Amino acid sequence: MIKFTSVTKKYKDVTPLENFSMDIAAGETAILSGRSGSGKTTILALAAALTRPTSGNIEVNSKQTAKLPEEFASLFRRESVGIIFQNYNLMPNLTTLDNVTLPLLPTKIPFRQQRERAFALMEKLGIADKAKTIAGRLSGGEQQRIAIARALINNPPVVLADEPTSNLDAKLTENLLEIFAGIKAEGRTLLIATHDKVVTESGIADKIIRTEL
Amino acid sequence: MSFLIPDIFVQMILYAVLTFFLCISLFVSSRVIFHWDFSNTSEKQYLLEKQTYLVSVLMKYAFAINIPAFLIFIYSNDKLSAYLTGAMCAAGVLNATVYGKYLIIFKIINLYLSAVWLTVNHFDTRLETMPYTTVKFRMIPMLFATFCMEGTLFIMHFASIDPAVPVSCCNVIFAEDTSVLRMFFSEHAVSLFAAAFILTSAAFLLKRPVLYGAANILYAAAGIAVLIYGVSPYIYELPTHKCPFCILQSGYGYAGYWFYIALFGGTASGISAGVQTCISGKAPKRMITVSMVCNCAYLLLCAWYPASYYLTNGTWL
Repeated sequence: MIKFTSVTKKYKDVTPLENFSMDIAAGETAILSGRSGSGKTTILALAAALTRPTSGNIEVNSKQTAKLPEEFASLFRRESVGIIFQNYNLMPNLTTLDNVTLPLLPTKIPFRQQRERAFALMEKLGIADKAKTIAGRLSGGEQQRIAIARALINNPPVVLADEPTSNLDAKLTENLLEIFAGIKAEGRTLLIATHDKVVTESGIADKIIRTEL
Repeated sequence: MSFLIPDIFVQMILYAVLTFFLCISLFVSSRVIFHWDFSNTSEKQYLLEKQTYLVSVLMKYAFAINIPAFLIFIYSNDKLSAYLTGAMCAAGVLNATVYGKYLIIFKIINLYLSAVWLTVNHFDTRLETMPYTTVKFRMIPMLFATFCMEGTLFIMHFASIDPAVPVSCCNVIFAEDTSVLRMFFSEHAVSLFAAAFILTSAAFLLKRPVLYGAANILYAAAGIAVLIYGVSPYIYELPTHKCPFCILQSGYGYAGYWFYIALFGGTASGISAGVQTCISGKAPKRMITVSMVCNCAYLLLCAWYPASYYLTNGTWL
């Protein structure tokens, strides 16, 4: 499902990833573990086709994503990948509902169906009562759940989460792990980048990949 | 004649930008021709893919600008005719030096080559695997050569024009008996045009895209001939006035622009569709339909002026 073969990513002066390989099967949950700056976020960005590698091959959901032209990369992201960003990347002036349905805007799914799907997800994540609230006014934990709902709204087979617990307290971390267990139970492939021991030791992962160079 | 005349200066800048873009493209094309391998995942290949993307974008805009720039060229030549003794339209300006004739020929060739390149680029960027990248980059050296030739002729032409020397007007330039070729075209323009239209229509109806592309080359040539020798006298309402440039003037309602847009739109997309079919083996149906619509519009435009003249005056010219 997610396969990196000898992937190198170089920026001007930094090489966060050099000759990196990994293989995560469909339905597996993997944790990318490593210190800050060890290339965890870069791996997620590469898996989501948000950036291209300097060399090497990447295959996600049976698609060679390393060579995808930008137009096809955005289509791939829309159909195959849900991303939970470290800082959530929500639209702070939009309501919860609008943020969750945002990825559906370019699709041809009828508006009513979009709302139904969004409400079902928000219900599941316990934020349905905040549907009309402006996202910027919500707490960190609630914003995180909006980000998760937004990542799942397109029903992606692959979910990527970047340091999902970095802004959460112990209670919210526990809640989040439950949500992740639910995502895993749905048969989705989950890749979590984290340096939080609570997550790595929670037993949620089928595989732990160390990114230390 | 001074290059500081605004119309010429603008075109000089366009040539400079285009030459700069073409130089970059030529450099990248040499690497693509020898080193392109889409299945390769090396750093060199990824870098090449990035560069081809950049060059494709640059050339797309450069060539797209080149198409309206042709109209600017004709318009500015038409304006310059006011400064040359004897010139009545762009024909006089283009005939003022030995380079003018070749300049317009190269401009037309480059216009069609640009259209073909843009078509190949369009189909290449629509596919994930960029299958026509090598084809479009193989075209770049040829485009570079023809555009350099055009630029050189442009400079030589405008540098050689002497406003003090009288030039011939279009009536003299397009006189029927000046050459065997002109005599042939003037006598058979309408029949040639009819034959070209029948051929393009047949190729369209029989769904033969390669033949359709080839037929459009003939249609472009016959279309120009019929405009000069068959239709223009009806626009000017003067049997002896045969000129493809005066129809671009305000006195004739800028009618010429409609003729040239329809003819170029139809034939360029038709030829490009033919080339695209040769390369990919798949006919771009929508493009062929657009081409046929434009070709029919050109035919109607050509028929409209003589028909309305006949209906008004009861006689043919």
